[in-house]
Amino acid sequence: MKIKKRGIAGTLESSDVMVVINPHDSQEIKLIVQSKVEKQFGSSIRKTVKDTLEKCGVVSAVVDVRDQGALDCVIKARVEAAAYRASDEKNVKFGDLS
Amino acid sequence: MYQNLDDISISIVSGSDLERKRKDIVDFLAAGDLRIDNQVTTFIVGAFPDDEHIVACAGLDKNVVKCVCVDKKMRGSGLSVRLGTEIVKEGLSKGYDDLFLFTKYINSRIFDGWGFKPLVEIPDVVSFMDYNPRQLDYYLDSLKSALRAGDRIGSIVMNANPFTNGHRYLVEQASKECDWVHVFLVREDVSFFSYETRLTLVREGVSDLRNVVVHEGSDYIISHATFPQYFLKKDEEITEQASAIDALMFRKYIAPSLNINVRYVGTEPTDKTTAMYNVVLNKFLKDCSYSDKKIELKEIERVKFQDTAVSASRVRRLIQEHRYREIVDLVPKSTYSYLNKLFVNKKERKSCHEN
Repeated sequence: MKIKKRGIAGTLESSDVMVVINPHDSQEIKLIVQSKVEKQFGSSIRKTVKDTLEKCGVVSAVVDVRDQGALDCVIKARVEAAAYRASDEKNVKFGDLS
Repeated sequence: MYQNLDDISISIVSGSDLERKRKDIVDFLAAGDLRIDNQVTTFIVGAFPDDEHIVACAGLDKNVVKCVCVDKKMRGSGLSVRLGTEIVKEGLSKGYDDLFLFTKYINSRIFDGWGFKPLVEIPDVVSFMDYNPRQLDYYLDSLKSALRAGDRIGSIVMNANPFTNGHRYLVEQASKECDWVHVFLVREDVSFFSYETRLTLVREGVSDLRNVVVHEGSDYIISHATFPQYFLKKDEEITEQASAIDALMFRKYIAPSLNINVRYVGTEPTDKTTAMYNVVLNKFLKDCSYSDKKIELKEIERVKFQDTAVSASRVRRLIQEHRYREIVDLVPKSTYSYLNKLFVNKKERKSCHEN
């Protein structure tokens, strides 16, 4: 999946996460995570985001994640939605990825 | 009695919708002791759908969040963060990479929940916050590639609309006194001459000075982002606090990344805003209550031509009055040859056609 424009999903509310995916000029995922549970779950959040992007076939993107203590399934859903929006993909099959 | 929080609908209001709802928003803000800012083009409004009674709003002027207010009875309900989500999404969707806001110092905690962090603060007075501090890092990194060694590193921030002998004189003086001089061009594209044109003319106008480096401006150095309007009542206060924030941004972020220790400005005999800016710069670049390294401010007497200070506004006035020939004494060759191409030739071509 190619990231063509900025895609946003999620909210700043508690137990949610806001994901912003931007196009990137090199073939890598640049991931920036800010989380209020960074110390406890920072690496787990990063893994979830990276795995989800990989399943979506995203190989080049700048990803900004603002986490308010979201569960894994929420993070996954928000990353998927943001990626689809960023790619202009029309045939979305949410949930098929897992 | 208010209904359930979930009943509140949040909508984006702009264009003709905004004109229709403007009075309601003005009244709502007034009840919260705030004034509407006419620069705001988009509002996020929280209201009850049945009677459209407004309970929260936040406005966006380009990439600056303004006019944020939540009904007193609804505070602490989580409505604020819904409002924050929508305004951030709106700003980011418009393509802005960073968002800014000014707030009373005591309210900065609220915006922490929106993901905003203070860039600079005047304790107990005002906080200047942004959403994506990495953008500032990128800008500072780009500046650092021009880092130069020396004991006296000067700096000048100019709009150069257009570059005149006045600017040239200021740069020359700094160039003589300093090991290196960093010149920053105001990025904002709201001037008579476009940013690209101004940049080209500054670069050409100082190209013979070997110790002068010209830098592109950004949102973080004299920009519309540094002008608060809505919670400040007096006109003088608006300018003083805005320029204080700008001075503190310069002192805390820009200057250290290039080891700048002195800033040059021209004396300002006429324009009150600029004169005030110089006073505030002098105060906040040196104020001891901030831990960042102090910056010396050096005022250079304006260069004059026929007893009047050479200024860009004088040049623009001559252009408007079609007195092109008189401009030749006020600007460097590079600027004149550009203006000549743009105005004089055009006029001559035009008059040929008319004949």
